[in-house]
Amino acid sequence: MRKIIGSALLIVGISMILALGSALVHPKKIPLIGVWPDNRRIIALEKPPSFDPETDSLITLEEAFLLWKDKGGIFIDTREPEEYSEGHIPGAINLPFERWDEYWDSVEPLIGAERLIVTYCGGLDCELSLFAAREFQSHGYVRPLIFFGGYVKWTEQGLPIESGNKQ
Amino acid sequence: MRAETNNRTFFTTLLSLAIGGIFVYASIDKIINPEAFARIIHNYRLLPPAAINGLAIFLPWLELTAGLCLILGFNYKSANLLIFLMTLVFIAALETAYFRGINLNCGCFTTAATTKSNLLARIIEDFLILVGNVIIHLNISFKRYKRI
Repeated sequence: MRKIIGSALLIVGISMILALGSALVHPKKIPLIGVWPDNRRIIALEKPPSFDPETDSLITLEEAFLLWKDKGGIFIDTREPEEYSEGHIPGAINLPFERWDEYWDSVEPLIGAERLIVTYCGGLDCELSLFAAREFQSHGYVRPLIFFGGYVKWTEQGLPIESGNKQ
Repeated sequence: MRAETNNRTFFTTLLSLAIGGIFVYASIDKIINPEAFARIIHNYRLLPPAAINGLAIFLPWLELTAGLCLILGFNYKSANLLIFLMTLVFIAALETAYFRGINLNCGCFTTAATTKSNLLARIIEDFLILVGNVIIHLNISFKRYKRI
């Protein structure tokens, strides 16, 4: 057994040398120590009661904010139009989950098929964002993200909002 | 150092080729795209920021070297041990992601951002690899059992 462990350490050593070599000459090399936000403390995301890890992808407020800032995703507000016009995440499209069929034909052309979808609703007591994300999946969208914190968490942090119901 | 090529049974050799092949295959895309793999590791929300890039650079090379040693039969029991340990770590990381509701690309075989992983299926696959590791380590031959 000692021999096996000794040779295992040798394999680890060889891998380290190869890795260091590649870190130096790799055409897409990255620094050995990178700059990343520390996300370890996000131990458990608050989960909707119907959450199913097989189908649903949750994101945090921080991730939602970064996607919004980088215009990396298209935000879908699943609340009622009255709530939407009172205030929503800037650029979000209103698609009330309760009236999906009524809204879908006008909303679909506003979303590119390849765009990353982020759904949200009122906040932690509302699951419309999750149901809407599943509906998007059944329409062929890959990995719609659910910002379960929703409008409540967004405004709690004083992040920008806009009002009116101009889509 | 002693190469242990010749004492493997036919069955163990086949299993080594399969598991070694999986690890070599899994390492290639990650070696090619270190940044994408670093992003995936970051998504697991497990490591201190300073450790992420280092692991993203080192881990795929360890997978490749251990996988090749297992295939070629070069110190294959050591390579087998390393693969066993790596798989244990993968299971632990996947389990935590699964129970924390982090359902993103696991970075098991590809770094492509659009790949959604079925974490439960990955965990089961990893358990099968562990069973294979044990069989390789004991160098079991099913033929031998038949004769008895």
